[in-house]
Amino acid sequence: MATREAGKKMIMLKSPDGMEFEVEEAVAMESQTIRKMIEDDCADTAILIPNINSKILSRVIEYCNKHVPTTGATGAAASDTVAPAALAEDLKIWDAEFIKVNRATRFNLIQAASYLNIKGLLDLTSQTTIDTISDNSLEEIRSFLSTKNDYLPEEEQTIRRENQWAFQ
Amino acid sequence: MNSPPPQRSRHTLVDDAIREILLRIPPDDPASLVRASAVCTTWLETISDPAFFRDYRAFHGASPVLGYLHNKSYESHGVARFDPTGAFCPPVRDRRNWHAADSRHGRVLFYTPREKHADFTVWDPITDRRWGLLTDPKLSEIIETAEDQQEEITWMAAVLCAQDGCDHLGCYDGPFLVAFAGSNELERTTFASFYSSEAAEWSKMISIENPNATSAMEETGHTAVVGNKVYFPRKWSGRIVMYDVGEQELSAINLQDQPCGKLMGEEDGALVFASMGGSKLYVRLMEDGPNGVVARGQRRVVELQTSLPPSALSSTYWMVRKTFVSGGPSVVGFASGAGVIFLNTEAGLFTVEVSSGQTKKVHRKMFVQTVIPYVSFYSREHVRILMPLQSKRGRGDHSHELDTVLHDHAGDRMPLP
Repeated sequence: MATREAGKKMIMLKSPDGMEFEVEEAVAMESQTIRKMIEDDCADTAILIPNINSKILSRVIEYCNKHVPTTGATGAAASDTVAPAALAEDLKIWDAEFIKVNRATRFNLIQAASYLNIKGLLDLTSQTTIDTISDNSLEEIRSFLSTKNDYLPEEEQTIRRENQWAFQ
Repeated sequence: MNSPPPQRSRHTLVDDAIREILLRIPPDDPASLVRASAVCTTWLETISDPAFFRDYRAFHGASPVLGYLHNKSYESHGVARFDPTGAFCPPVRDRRNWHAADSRHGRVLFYTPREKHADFTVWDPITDRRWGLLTDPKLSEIIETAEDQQEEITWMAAVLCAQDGCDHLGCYDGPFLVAFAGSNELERTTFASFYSSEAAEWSKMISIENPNATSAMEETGHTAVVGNKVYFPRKWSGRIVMYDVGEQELSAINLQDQPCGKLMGEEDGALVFASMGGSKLYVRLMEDGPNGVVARGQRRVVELQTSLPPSALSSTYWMVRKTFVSGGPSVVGFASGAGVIFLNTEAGLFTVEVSSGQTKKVHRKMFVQTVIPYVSFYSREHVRILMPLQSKRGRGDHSHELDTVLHDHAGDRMPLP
């Protein structure tokens, strides 16, 4: 992708708690929701992002900044001399660090990524929970995710009985 | 200042997050989805929503291989067995006196002559629904002759979804066809007929003259379906019968000048052929178009030297009834839609993902010429098992719709002994 050195188009994102974030259009367009607004010409100078507080929105922008596919946009790791494999490895390490957050923040990030339609961020934030479901017992899943079991005991027994293969 | 369109009102943001997570549970890990729906009723409601099924299938694209069927012979009887490749397992794995013939679009076709009300049975392993079909008198006679005098008549049958333009990701409840094709060596004819579940009857039988003196059907082979056309292999490699069930047309195809291996199934509207040569697996796509059947693209070569144990690639020969039988690796099945080849070797049964070359051992050494892979999303399992709970509680927006589904399931189950 070509980099526009001068006069990069900027977009203002506003969180409902009144914070404003000025980001490059390319970075904001990592969100398919925002991309569509820009492409449909529905966005002028500022876009209000409802339901996503400034703390979460800033982290989402941080993610998009890192993942926007341009060289030198952030000046962080990308450079012409770095091999693509090394770059991918670097991103992986960065992602692993990025996702070291508590469960509430992770869920907020999933909600934000879902609303803003950022596939990479959704995949990343969902993976921990998918692993939890895949590797743990029902009781552990509920406890790790603080989910209240509202099945009647006999209902849960029916599910277990009818699907024994899934609970072994 | 602008803001994006408002949130869907029915869901909360938490529900959306949960939904996004559940959507990402891998299709080849069905146990996780079952366990997730047992966590709490909100998760169950999310997973049981028909819209979730649609999104789930769209998200993951290709259907996963959940297992494969093969026919086992004992002294006194035969058994059709379902072997799982992952955690999913149907309620009944072994079907005594049934013979697995074909599988496609989430259904399995068995030849079940010992059943009172069904010469053929179509089975959905996930919901355990079964549909029995009787043959008409003419077809019964052909099949009986084939059983009595094995040399004279050979036949094959295929099952397919009957809906036009279907993506086959969730058509398991819809109408289906069973296509039948056979060859009579004495009369030198090839004939075909199909059963429609909607019409609940067999079509008129059509036939053509056999182009060669030996035109027997390859009864241990695999069928392929592209659109309305069903392809059946003959015993001689490269000779195929094409049966167009839409146009009621039958024709003989000869590909012997284009050596391409065994017909294995279909992929992206093309016929899939495969063969082994040394340590390499060769896969070729062939397209049936206006200029006849021609190759589509280069053949794909999968080198298995490093991904299979040496004993899997070794060849041994032994004598069976005065002929040498090769014990080297052989291509025994293809999971259409998943792009997975089944390879039977001295070291066991392996699956090979054609695109990546990734292999996985799924069974110890088997004495089979054919396995019939079962490819499907399993998500409908929840409708069957978990919905009684939900509808009893009167929860959720979709209970009515799902009640109907449940009723259908109970209503048309075939009374098999």
